[in-house]
This record gives sequence, structure tokens and C-alpha cells, in this order.
Amino acid sequence: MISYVRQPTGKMPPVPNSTASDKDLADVYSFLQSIPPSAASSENSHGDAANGKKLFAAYGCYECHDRQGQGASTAPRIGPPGISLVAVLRYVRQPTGQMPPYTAKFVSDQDLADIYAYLSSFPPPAPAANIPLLNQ
Amino acid sequence: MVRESPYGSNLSSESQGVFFMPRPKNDSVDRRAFLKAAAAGTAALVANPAGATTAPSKSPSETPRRNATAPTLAKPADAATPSTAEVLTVDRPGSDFMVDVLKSLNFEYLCANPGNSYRSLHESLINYGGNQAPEFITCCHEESSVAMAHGFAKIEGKPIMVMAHGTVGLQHASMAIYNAFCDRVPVYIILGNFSEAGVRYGQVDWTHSAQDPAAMIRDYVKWDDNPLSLQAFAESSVRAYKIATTPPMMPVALVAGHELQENPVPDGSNLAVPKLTMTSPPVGDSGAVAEVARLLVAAENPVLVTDRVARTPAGLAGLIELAEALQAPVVDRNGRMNFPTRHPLNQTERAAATIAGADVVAGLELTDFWSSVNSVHGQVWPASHPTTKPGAKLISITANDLYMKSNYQDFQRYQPVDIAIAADAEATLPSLIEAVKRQITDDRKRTFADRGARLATAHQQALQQSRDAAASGWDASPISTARMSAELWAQIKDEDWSLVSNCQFVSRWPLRLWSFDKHHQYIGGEGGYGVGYGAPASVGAALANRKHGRLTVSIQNDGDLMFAPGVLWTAAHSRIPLLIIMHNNRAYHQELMQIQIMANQHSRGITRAAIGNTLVDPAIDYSKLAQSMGMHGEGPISDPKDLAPAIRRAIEVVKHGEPALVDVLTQPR
Repeated sequence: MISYVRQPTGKMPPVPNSTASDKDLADVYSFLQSIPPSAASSENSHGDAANGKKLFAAYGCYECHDRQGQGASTAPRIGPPGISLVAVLRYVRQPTGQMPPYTAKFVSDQDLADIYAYLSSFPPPAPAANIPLLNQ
Repeated sequence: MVRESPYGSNLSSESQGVFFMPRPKNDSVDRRAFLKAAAAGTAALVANPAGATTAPSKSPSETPRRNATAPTLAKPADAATPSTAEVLTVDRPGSDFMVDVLKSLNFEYLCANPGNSYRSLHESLINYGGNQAPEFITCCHEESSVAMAHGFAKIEGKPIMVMAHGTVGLQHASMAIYNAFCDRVPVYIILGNFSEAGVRYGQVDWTHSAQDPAAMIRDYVKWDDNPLSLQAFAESSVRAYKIATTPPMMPVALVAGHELQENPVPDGSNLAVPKLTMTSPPVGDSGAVAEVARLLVAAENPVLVTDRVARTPAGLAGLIELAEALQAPVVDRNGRMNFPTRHPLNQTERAAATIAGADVVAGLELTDFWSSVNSVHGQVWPASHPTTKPGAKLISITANDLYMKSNYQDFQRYQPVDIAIAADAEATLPSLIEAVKRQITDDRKRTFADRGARLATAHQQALQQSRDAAASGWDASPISTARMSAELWAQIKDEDWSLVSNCQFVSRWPLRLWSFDKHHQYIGGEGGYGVGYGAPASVGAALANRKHGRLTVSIQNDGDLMFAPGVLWTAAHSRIPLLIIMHNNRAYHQELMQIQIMANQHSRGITRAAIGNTLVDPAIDYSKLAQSMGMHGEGPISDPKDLAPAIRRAIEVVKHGEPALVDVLTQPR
């Protein structure tokens, strides 16, 4: 999160160290992690990855995040997710930057849980150091 | 002689007569018969000057109608007299002189789709001119002709010619001209036109005629002219070349009237080809340059932000020298190959943080200074805030301040700055470097060295971040654009390569992962973001690279290729070696994302954004498309493991002087 905030992609302005130190950002992260899941999201926290894969395509998530959520110049990597399902639920309803809102009218909490499960099905990427083509 | 000539006094009545004969009402009259009959009429006029004075030919409305000579015209062709046949040939058409003029400008090539409004010039170029300097490159669309010239000029640093009908051809060409205009690239365009109504044979000629052909592009060319004599054509040709190639460089257009081309050069005329003297580019005022140097040397955190600085390799070398003298970071907008991607001072991947921390921002040939120091946010309505520190000094050096048009808004949002130098940045670099070096003290050198060390560390960290990001989705199918870029780089990195496509649509992976350090290794993008540029500009750039023996590579967007895929045939026909790697995401993907945003905002459903934006059902087989044009084609490839062998096979073809295409099914971005 710290590296993203310092050098964000998309339209998010960078937050320099002079504005928020690494310690500050760590505190923000801890706070976000401490938020208890709501009753609804708790019920839906077990998603269906197969359905999530379909929804990820149908709802156009892949357009900016690519098909495995690996990220691109248009949007950050979200597969596997680096934040909790609760944080995802909050963000997609009222996103910042250029991400369009995904309201409950079209995307239910269960849909998002399924998408979260799909994105969670991917292992973390291998270290670049282990890929010869990325060390040319 | 009372007949009015559009060419002034250069032409004798005898030489004009055949072209100024009254025209038939009946357009179906056989042209050969008409010419013979017209010539017969001319002979009669010459034989009887008094007759000419009593029947002046001024304009179609005043011209004696064709039926006035109907008895002569009605004769079969073989009824013409021997003396009539002699005037059916022209020993030295005006277009031969035009070729003399154009050859003096040393064009290597001309790109054109043939058109009868410049048929005489076409013939003169290939026969009288020997189809050399310029050599005719057959194009299948005028947009391709111009975009090829656009790509060529960015590699070679000089324009080539384009010919087009002044009407239908120019309409096709106009978007590509706009791209070149926005990209500040010289393109030299000759437009055919039947300026004189009396020379039009029928319906087609009339629809291919205009009072002012260049009017439709005047908002986005630097200069145009419609000369009415051969001498004026010569002078305007040389003037047009000078104007196009003086920064800020832009396209120019010159009308070559059909009658001017086809009329013979008059006996005894005193035509001359003017000498071309290239205009030296505008250099910044010495006082202002000294002040810029003072600010840069005194700054704690200066940054050089660049876009189209390096017009030539000298610009690249100059920017390296300046950055190293200051140990200042460079943030490159990549309009040209301005600065090596692996140079430790290259902080492009840390652009936001670098600019946010700067106390002096020097923008060098920035197309959009405002966006470099401001951030736009808000989804429904754009709001913005500055990204620089309060009090940061802003400096602009750009030739764009010397010449600007008003209608099309490519000049971007106005950005107040502290020093604005209206000059070519590349040409100004030597004096700026000298001024900077003069002001650097030993104390500042130590400060600079510390800064350089910090920047080198930050550069390496940013490179590692890019590599880590590229690892994500490494084995995905469709193939990630990072994987495709890395696989391609592995195959070309030991060659003298040149990437001639915009990296914007593949998440800039080549710029993030490859080592670019030569000027010809990157040429930026479209300029005006007009889709359809990529394929023809790549072919044009490859044409320029051919004589240098470079391996030219293009990462080709699928939607872009489909605008005018006939340029693949031009590449095959003209034996232009070019490796095309398709970025085939089967969509106009930029627009797909835009419609998704609208769908979400409007809350009427979010699953139909693909309508109108995707290229599926049926999927396009680009390898077969390439093969149909006579070039090597392979794919579609969706398994990343298959990619390297396919690229190697294609490179072998390219090394034999042919184009080759590998179709890769890719992730969206």
C-alpha cells in the first residue's frame, strides 16, 4: 500500500513522505484492517470462484484490471487481493480515482464475494528475480 | 492576343491552345478523338490569329460551347490531318519541370494512391524522373500515405512526399495530416486539382475539383499554396520544404494544378529551380537561457520534463549531457526517444513523486505542460489541483510558442510559467549546457553527486517495481502484455532494433522493461491520438530504417490495423522489412473502458459496454490477413510458451528483407 500511495497509477495524486510518513500509512492500514466486517458481508464472505470468474468478465472488471486481476497501466493489481473483502465492498461502492462505482443495484455483496473468491484463487506472482526474462 | 492565361505571360497562345479549346457538352465524346479535334482546332487558331481574337476563351461560361466546333469533333479520329497528330504529344510537360524542382529537395520516396488529377506528375516522376529520388511507393489509402510519411520523418529526420487528389484523396488523408500536425512532424503533400474548369473532361473531374483544395486542412497544416505558374510552383515548393522542416515542424500542402502539370513548358521560358537553404532552428535568447541555467544550478530538486526534445540523435546526446551536468532527474513523456530508459537519472516511472518534490521544473518541448504539473480528479466533472510544491519555478522551452493555430485545440490548457523561451529546445541545449557548466561550483558539484546517487537508487527501485509488476499474470492466457514485451525483447535486444509503435496501449511495458539508448529506438505516438496511425507509420518508419539495416519492430493494435490494413500489402510489395507483433485484445479497448464508466455512472446496466467496442464474432485472423497480402503470418498465439519460437521464425523472415506478422492474443492492457 505504501509503495502505491507514493507512486500511484491512474489519477490518484501521490502522497509524499512529507505529507504522510510510512508510519502514518502503516497506521491507516492497521485501522482499515481493524474494521469489523458487517453482518451482510460476513454472511457473503465465502464466495463462489467459478461464478466470480464469470462476473469479473461480465461486469467489465477485466477491462482495466486484466483478466486475472493482474493489473495494468489502467488499474492496479487486485489478484490475489491485497485488501479484505470488507475493504473491497466499501471501495467499489464509492471508489476514488477513475474507477467507476459498482452500486448494489447491479452488483450484490454476494457477487463481490464471488469475484473476491475468484481473485483469491490466484497465487501471488512469482518473484521477478526468478523469471529470467524479467532480468534482461 | 486577348485570351487570358492563368499562367501569366509565360505561356504562348500556341502552347495553351490545345488545353483551352472549347469543351463538349457531350461528355461521352471519345477522349482521343476530342484531343485530335481540339488540336486541329488549335492549328486553325494558330493559322488564323484573327480568329482567336474574335473567339476568346476566358471561362467555361464565356467559352464558345463545344458544339461550335461540332463538325470538326464529329470527324473520326483517323480523319485528322498529319499535322494535327504532331500536336498530340508533348515534349516537355510542365510536370517534368515540377520533377526537376522536387528532385532538388532530395525526397527519397513518395507515398501515393494514384489519381488522375496528378497523372502527368505521376508519369513524369516515374519516366522523366526515373522513379528514383523520389521512388514511388504504392499505397492503398491516402491515410496510409501520410502516416507512412509521418513515421518515416521521425526516423530519418526529413520529410518524404505524399501525393493525393485535392478532393477525395485529401479527405482520406486528413486525419493522418492532423496526427502529423499534432506530433510536429513534417509531411510534404502535393495535391492534384483541376483548377481550371476548362480542362475538366466530365463528371469525375468536376467532382475531383475544388476552388481551394487545401481549405479543408488549413487548420492543421503549417502552410499551403496554390501556385498558378511553373515558376511560382518552383518557389512555393522550396518555400514549403523550408517551412515544414523549421521547428515547429508540421505538414505543408501544395496544389499542383492539372493544367500546370500537363501544359508543355513554353519555349523560351526562363524557369529556374530556386536554391534550398535550410533555415536554422530558433535558439533561445541568451539572457533567458542564462537565467534558466542559474535556476537549475541553484535548485535543490530540479527536474527536466521532456516530450519532443530529441528531434535528432543530437537532442538525445544533449539531454544526457545536461542531465548529467546537473545530476538532475528526467521525466520523459516519450513523444520521442529523448533519454535512455536505463539511465540512473531517468525517473519517468517515479514521475509523480519527482515532480511533487521539485523546486524547479523545466519543461522541454512539452506538448502539455499543464498536465505535467497538475492532476485531474473527479469522475463526473474534472477537478484539478497542482502537483508541484508552492513556489516551485516553472520553465518552458518550446518552439510551440512560435506558431499556433486556433481552431483545433491541440495547444492544450494554458500553464502559467516563470520563464518561457520560444525556441527549439534541441537547438537551445548546447547554449544551456554551456551556461549551466559555467555556473557550477565545486560546492554544487558535491551536492549534485549526492543527488545523483539518490536518484540512481530510486531508479533501480522503480525498475524492480516494474519487473515485479510484470511478473503478475506471467503465465496467463491470453498473454499478458508484459510477458509479450519481455519475450519480444529477448529476441531483439542483441540486434540493432527500432521499436516504432506507441507503447501506451501495452501499459508502456517496453519503456519500463527494455533498455532504450539510441535515438532510432523509439518514435513516440500518433500526435493527435487518431486511430489508424500505427500500422502505416510503422511501415513508413521501417522504410526509413531499411537502408540502415535495422530490425524494425511494431507492437500493433488490432483495432488500429483494421482502419487501413492494405498497408500490409504496401510493406510486402515494397519489400519493407518489419516485424509486426499483434496486440490482439479483440476490442477498441480504450473506448470499451469509457463506455463501462458511462454505464456505471448512468446506472442502467453494466454488462453491455462491449456493444460497439469489440472485434469478435467473427474473430479476425490476422495471420491469414497478412498472408493474403503476401507476407509471413503466424498465429493466433494464446499460450505464452509458443511465443518465442514464433517471434524467432518471423525475425528470420524480416532479416531476409520481408515483413512478417505474429498474431498474439493478449490481455486488454
